[in-house]
Formats: sequence, C-alpha cells, structure tokens
Amino acid sequence: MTIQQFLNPFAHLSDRLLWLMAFGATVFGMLIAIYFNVSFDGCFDVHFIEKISILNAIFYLVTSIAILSLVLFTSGKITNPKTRFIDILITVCVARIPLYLLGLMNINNYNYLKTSYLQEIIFKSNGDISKITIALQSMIPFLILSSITALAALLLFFVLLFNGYKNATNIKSTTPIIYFVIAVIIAETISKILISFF
Amino acid sequence: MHPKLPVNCPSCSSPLLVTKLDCTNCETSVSGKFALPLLLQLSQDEQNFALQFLLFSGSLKEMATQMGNSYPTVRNKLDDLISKIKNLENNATS
Repeated sequence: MTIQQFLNPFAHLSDRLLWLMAFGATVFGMLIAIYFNVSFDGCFDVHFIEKISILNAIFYLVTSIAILSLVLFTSGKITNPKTRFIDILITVCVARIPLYLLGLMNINNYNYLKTSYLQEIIFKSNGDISKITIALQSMIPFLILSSITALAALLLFFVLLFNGYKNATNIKSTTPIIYFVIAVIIAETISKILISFF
Repeated sequence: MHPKLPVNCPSCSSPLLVTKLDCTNCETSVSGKFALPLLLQLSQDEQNFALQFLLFSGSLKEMATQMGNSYPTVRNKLDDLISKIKNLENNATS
C-alpha cells in the first residue's frame, strides 16, 4: 500500500472493500468505546471516562456518524447534485478509524486515571503552582505522548475525511473547501447539542 | 507496436491538424487541413475509458467493479471527460 492509497483509499479501493472497511471500523469503534470506556460524543470527539454504558457508547457513535454524514452530504449536494449519501457515509466511517485507534490509549482506564490524577492535583493545589509543577514533571512524557498521538489521529481523520469528501463530490475549486469546513463545524455543533440532551 | 497518434504539438502544445491522407491501395494522396475528430483529441487513457464505458453498456457500477475502483472515482473520471469534451466542442465552434 502506497502513501497515496493510505491517505486516500476512496480513490483507489473498490466499493466492496470500502464497504467492508466502513462496517468493520464502526464495529471496532463500538467495541473500543464499550471496553475501553471511550465516549465518542461529537463528530471528532474522543473522551475517556470512568464508565460508559453500552447504550450510550453506541448512541454517541451512531449519532456522530449520522450527523456528520448528513451535514457533509447536504453541503456536497449543493456543490455537486450527483453526490451520493452512501459515499459520504463510507467516507465518515473510514475516516473515523484514527479516532477509534486513539481509544486504545485508555486500556485499563489508563488515560482516564492519569488525567483524573492531574485534575485532582490542580484542584487540591489551591493555586500553588509549585505543587502543580512537581506533579506535571512526572507526567511530562505521558502528556507529550498523548498530545502528539491525539494530534496525529485528528490530522489523519481530517485528511481522510477531506479526501473522501473530495472523491464523493468531485470538487475542483476552492469554494467547496469552504463548504466542507463550514459543514464540519456545523456537524460538530449539532452533534454536541443533540448528545447533551441525552 | 502501435505508435501513439500525437494530438498536440510537442513544441508549443497547440492542437495538431491532419494535412495529408494516403490511400494504402492505389497510393492516392489527399492534402488539406483537416481537424482531428473530437474523440481523437482525447488522451490515450481517456479514449480507453470511453471505450470501456461503451463496452460495459454505460454501467458505471460494473466498470468500477471490473477496474477495482470505487463508484465515485469512476463517475468523477466520466464527469471530467464530459467536461473536457464540452470544452473541445466549444473550442471547435468558436
């Protein structure tokens, strides 16, 4: 597999393979959410929590996928009326793979416990910077590694999402890119509002 | 080996014209300035794609399956080809 195929599988792989990837990725994401207590409560949100119910894990994931797909489909339809919903749905499902992989960081609630510990230190320090600094020093490798991994996953998610969107809508000019950015922001806002109700 | 028909000037990239046609039977020659047919102005890849499209009776789904590509990838190629043909047509009439 070349870098091009890795970053844009939508232009190089067959429909059947993309379907399988999308379905497999979504099931994988659900399992990650349930077993590693990951809350995918937004279009590109990954939060580690103490305990997540199976119902919430599935609901958050399905809502995030559905809203992002619907909003991107609407913006795609405006730019190119030939845009199909199924292509956008596959794009969203496949693009989310890096976010699911990020969930692996919470094996045995590792990430949640570390960040909870840090929050506790900050809360108990009463503004004493020296206490926070001491606690932070031991956590610097963890914080750096988590930040780099999270940024890389987020970047890969957006690259895959844009490449899939580009392929599904056949965009050429810059105006549709603006539509894409606006659509992602709208989808994130809607998903956060909707999920907060449940 | 089938030599590729050049459609653009290798020096300035302008479209080429047919200026001489020979009969292989009686060796009659016809001279003039004839524009290349629209389909011949497409690149070899585009011509192959158009041919495949005909052979698959215009079924993009079947084409995508055979080519191992996704449906939107094949449809995009067709849309790009249509827009190129329209441009060539416009250039020919103007």
